[in-house]
Amino acid sequence: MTIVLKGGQVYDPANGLKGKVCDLWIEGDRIVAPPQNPVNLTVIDARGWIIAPGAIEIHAHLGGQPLTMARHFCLSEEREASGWIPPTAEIATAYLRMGYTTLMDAAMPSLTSWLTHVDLQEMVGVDRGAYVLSGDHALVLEVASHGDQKTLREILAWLLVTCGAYAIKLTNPGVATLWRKRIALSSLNDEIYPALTQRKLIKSVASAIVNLGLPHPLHLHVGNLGQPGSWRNFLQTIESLERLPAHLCHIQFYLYDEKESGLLSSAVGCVLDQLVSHTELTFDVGQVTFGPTVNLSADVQLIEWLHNLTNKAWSYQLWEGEGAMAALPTQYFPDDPVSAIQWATGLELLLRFPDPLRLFLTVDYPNGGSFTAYPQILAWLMQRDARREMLKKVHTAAMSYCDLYAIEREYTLDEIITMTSWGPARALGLLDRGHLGIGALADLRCYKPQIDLVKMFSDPVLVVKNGQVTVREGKIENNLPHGKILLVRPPIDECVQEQTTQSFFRNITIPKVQYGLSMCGKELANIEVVSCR
Amino acid sequence: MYGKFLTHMFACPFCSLHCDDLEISLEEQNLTSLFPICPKGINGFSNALSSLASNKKDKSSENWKEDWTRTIQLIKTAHHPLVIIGGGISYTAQRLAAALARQINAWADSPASLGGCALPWTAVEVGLTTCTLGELRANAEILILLDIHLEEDYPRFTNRIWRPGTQQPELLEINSHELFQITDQDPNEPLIKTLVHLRLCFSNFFTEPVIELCHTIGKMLDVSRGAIVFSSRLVSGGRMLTIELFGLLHKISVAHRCNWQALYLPGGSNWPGASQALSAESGYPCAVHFSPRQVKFSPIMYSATNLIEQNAPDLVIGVGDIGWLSTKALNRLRETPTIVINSVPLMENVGIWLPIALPGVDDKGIFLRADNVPVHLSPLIASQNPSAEYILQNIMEEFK
Ligand code: SF4
Repeated sequence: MTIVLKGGQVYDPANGLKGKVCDLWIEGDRIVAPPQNPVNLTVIDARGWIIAPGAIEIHAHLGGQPLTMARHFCLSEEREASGWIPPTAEIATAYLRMGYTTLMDAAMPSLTSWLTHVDLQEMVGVDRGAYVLSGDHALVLEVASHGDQKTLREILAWLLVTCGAYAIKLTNPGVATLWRKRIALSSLNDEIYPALTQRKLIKSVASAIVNLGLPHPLHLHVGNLGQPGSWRNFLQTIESLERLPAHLCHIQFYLYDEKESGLLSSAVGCVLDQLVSHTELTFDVGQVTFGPTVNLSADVQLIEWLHNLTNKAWSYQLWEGEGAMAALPTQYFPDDPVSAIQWATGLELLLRFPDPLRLFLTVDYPNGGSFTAYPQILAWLMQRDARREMLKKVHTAAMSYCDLYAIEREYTLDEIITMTSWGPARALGLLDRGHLGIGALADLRCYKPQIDLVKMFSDPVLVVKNGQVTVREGKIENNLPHGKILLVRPPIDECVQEQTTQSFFRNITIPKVQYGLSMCGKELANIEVVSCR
Repeated sequence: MYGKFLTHMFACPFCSLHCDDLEISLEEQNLTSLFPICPKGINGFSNALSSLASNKKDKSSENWKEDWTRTIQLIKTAHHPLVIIGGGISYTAQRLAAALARQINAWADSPASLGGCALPWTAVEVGLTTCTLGELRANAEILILLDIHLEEDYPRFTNRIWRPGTQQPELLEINSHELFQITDQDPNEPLIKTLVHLRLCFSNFFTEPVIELCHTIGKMLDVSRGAIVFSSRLVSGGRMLTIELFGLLHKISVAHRCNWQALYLPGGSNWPGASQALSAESGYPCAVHFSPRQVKFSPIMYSATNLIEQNAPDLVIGVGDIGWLSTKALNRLRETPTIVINSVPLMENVGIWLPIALPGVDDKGIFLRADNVPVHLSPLIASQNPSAEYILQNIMEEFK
């Protein structure tokens, strides 16, 4: 089947198109050059529409056991009052309705990775993948402590393959291992395992990932999240990577300083030059939005700290052989000084960081709030007056302790498309998407231009996934394409991993044949193995 | 597959421990041995194998056809159906059951509604601090088994928790009916000896004194890591009790700056799967109504027990084992149109029974262990029975 979108304004930052009026041809699931004799041609009149590549979610919690834990806190009959987390399949369609065509789950435990995959299978209409939590995996810690980079590579490759993961995630690595002993992890130089500091682990894993040639570098949740002064540890972590590539997630949550009043203040100015100069790094923001939600993280120390701060009930589950997951209900109020400062810090960062190819929009769903707030956030970025209006409505601390009001910048549409499509695609090493060049995956979104940007970004007039129209005038079409589960499968040296994993499996209650996807890996449906470099 | 054979590393479907280290041997589809020996497992396998033999006789293809037609007809004409997602079926089947409930705008419930949704509400009220079996094995210094009948319910619990060649955690069983005797029994046993001095007297097991007792034990032993293990017996005692228990754990942890966890051993096999499946399909762990506009949650009103006792549903579809309903509700099912999709019938003369294969016996499937860890079960023998997934997919196909 061939589709032509005729006469739209095409925004394709990767190919230098900034609203060029042209026709866009799709054959099968790919963008193609105008064919000689198109078969089964569907002509879509796109005159006046904005056409852009499908958006990509680089960091959100979307399924598996962790989300079940978060849902335990959403028992109110009034959904809106509890930050209700929709069923997994609905999460996917809600993203799709906004023009998102690729989603990444940021925290898949290895022990229950099969459960994450059941959810991923249900998320039809988009491509999706998951990062495997590795920062407290007993094997990773043990091998890294020996300084044996070759075996570390093997273990990371084994984890990726066994769990059907797309990338390696470290969440404040070592935190759960120390937390079990009631020891707080506060610095990169803390010993998290005999002869292993957090600093050494981060660098070893980042380096092993480069050597494995994975499409996405280390995905890192830095320590000391949310603490006043956390920007210092954040910068030290960047230095500890010694210029190795990495993606640092939800970084807004680290950019806080402390005022004498005891309140937080934005520390964007303290880190900006460093962020800009480290061109080997990419980031996502973790923007805070207002309303009830659930904090969900493998950083169990962080959630306990929040629990002590707020006195709210919290839950955690410790997993044998690896880390933990913890959850705590929360609410960001516009008239609360801390929430307001967090909100303003995220926007300040987005507006002061100059390169949309390296800083992406996320809310770290559900931590910063719901992803359905993306259209509103985009509108604030593009409309100075709208965000200043909002700034006047939130607690005055945001005005006093952040530089948001003074910022004149307004994002261009080209920049918005870059930060939501081509930027994350490039960071994920998914070079077949995020752009509309010949041969690219035909994932795209079309908007009817309008003054109300929130409405425009909320309701794309058309969304195409794999060359198939999936959303028309805001309505989901029937028979969505299944989409692919994105995985990597680096080669494994069976001998090395057999030897190395033996003691690990003696210590846990699940045998190797039952671990992760071991029993069903070959049966996984709809997968796409993305090649390593 | 047939005749005499031996399978290594076999996983068991008959309690929520789902042991995966069994060797089992069959001769002509009769169980000849199960190693390590577990009376409950042996019983379960023997019953499953023998009922399999008799099912085949009972359920002719004509009966099947008739039951199938009636099933579809009943679902078509029902205005207020209720789908109950039980244990004893695979997690995939549980997800399908929840999806079916959504498709036909039914009420749906899981065993998580026991005790007025005790566990989910505990999370909201005081939090849930839990861990996997292996975590206990590696770290716990003491396990307090609260009203758990290990022999009866989880015969191999200690095998799963104790690792050969390592220090075993202290094990303290507190059962409601034995509580009085604990205080003056076996004075040589060190842990019990300390308890003797407490001279505690309890009028009611499910009250503050037990919580105090556990607290005191924690203090006395000065252990830094322990767990309270409890089961659905305790949860079905009510929401407040469960909330209190978790509140206690929190107190102990804070008082001792230590880690105390709770491990809930749900009574039925793959119960954790049922609530997780419903949660992933509805956003709530139990007691929901998939009404046409949006899913609604009401732990009291929409619990299966309450709905059936109130005569609210005009059709009940039980997928898996739903024997955990109250006796009153089970009796009501004799008068309510009911479809039971399970490997064994629910009761004599209750509704239509669509027999299915049982993962771990004549089907494969993944069950969630008590601690939510997935365990793969493989078939021992082949049978004519369809899988639950097959039945559910076909029903859903009819209503597309
Ligand atoms: S303890 Fe439970 S799972 Fe293990 S063999 Fe016995 S019945 Fe089966």
